[in-house]
Amino acid sequence: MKSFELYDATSVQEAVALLSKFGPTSKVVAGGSDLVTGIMKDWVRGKGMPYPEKLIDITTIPEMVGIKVANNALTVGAATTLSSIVDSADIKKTWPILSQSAESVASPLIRNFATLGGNINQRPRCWFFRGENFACYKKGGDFCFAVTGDNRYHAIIGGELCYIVHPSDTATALLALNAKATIAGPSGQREVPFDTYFTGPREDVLRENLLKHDELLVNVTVPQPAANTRMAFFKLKDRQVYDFALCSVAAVFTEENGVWKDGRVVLGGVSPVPYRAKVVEEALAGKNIKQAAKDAAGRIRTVARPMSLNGYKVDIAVGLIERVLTSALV
Amino acid sequence: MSQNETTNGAEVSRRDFLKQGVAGVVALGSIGLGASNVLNRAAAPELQLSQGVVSPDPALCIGCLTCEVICSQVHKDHGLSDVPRIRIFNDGRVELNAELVKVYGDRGHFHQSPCLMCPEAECLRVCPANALVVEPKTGARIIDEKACIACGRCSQACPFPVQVESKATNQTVFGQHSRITYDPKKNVYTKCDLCNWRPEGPACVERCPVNVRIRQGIIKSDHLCLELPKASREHWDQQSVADRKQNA
Repeated sequence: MKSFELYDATSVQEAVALLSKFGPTSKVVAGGSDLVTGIMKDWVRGKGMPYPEKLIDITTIPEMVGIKVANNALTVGAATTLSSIVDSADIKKTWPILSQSAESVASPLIRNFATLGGNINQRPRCWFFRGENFACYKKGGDFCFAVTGDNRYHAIIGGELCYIVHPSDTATALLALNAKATIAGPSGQREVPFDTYFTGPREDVLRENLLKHDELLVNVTVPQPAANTRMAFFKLKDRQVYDFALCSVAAVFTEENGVWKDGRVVLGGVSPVPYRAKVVEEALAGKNIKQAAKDAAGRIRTVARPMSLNGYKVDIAVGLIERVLTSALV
Repeated sequence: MSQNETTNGAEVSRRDFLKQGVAGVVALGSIGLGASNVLNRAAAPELQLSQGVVSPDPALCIGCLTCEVICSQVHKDHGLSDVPRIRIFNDGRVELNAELVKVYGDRGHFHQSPCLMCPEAECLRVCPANALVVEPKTGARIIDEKACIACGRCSQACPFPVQVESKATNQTVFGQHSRITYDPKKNVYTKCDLCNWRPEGPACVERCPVNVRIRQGIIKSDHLCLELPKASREHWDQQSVADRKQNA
């Protein structure tokens, strides 16, 4: 790995100023489990992805670390560790799927330094993207090797040009919880709903969210769930020990006497962005959830477009959606 | 005047003026400039044929959407509308190439809808603003975005409709009806221009992954998924018949 300069930012403004000053070869770092021990260690770079030379540490910014519950909302600083989220009694009680999704990430050792912001903004796990010898679109190259290569872990929904899947478990839960992201940049801070935070390859294949190189995620705000809200999360991995999601499902919905009123069903590990399964939600509207779950889950087939080796993921998604919907009712 | 020059205030006025003028003429009847262009077509000089026309083979398409997205990307990078000029549609009637199925399994059934670079080019004849021109180097029928007044006549005149967009593989709605599409962001119509500024030629043909694998000999095929033959009347006759059949 190449050496780098490390800057300890003491405020969000200072971090933004450093990013603006140093340009695209500077990156924000918190736990560094993906950036330093993944991207940089493995020399993941290309024409559209310069190797980081300057890292701006944001764990030294007090306002970016911590969990607060106020005004009927939860706010988690982007530099808060996943372990802190798992250990939070407030989160476990009111937003249990955020706690579960954080706990499903990696190992306890990694969760002790990996952060929420890092988990949301981590780069994809596509083995061609991570491989040094593949000049893929996501690195500024001119080919998607997954289209005609081994694509068993790639996108089954929404892939185009590039077929990565979004790797974040917490992002899946946060989108289902209707969370908002606070983004800081040279022109100040702005709030963006998670519905529009993630961007697909058509918008810009070089990134997975709307953060520009001189912007950073400051915190995430999650509203208090309405009365009669049910929620559940499940992540399926290819192996028993820690791994990324083959498919994960988060469901958050309100119901009355078992009938779906309103809610969200979100899938991770199947699409270039955390995927909100509106076809499933529409199929559940006004219906008895237990009775409609199987048919509604099957609706995901209408939007799925599997590749040559990953058709099995469609069956998994259908099964998991049904499982999560029914388990939320228990 | 290059296509990607920034529009200045004076030109906007000219566009608005022309657009309002055309709207008025259309409202009064069919005696507009475009209509007179059509009436005079017999007397119009024969157009230079295009040096290339994107000719797809749906049997080789795996619906990866690389052509669609890369089309948007290269045009956007060149300062032009990012509405894709080629669209992919789900089409269960397409019989897949056996070699493709052997190598990549059943990825689904799709057809492509590119511009056919018509020898007669109705779109070009009806434009009241002379925004549709033949690009001299490639012979491509192109829209000069700077001159386009977004009246929509070219799109209406295009004889090749596309499938309903609910069948579009990427599930994105562009409000497309023919091979010429309105871009509300830039308030212009847009169509295939054969990426005439690129030395590599059309990006869709260059980047199609099936094309790449055929060229590498990994997929055995005597032709590409997206070919780029020189336009001819005979080829246009054949392609238009096939195109109309798949969009019926």
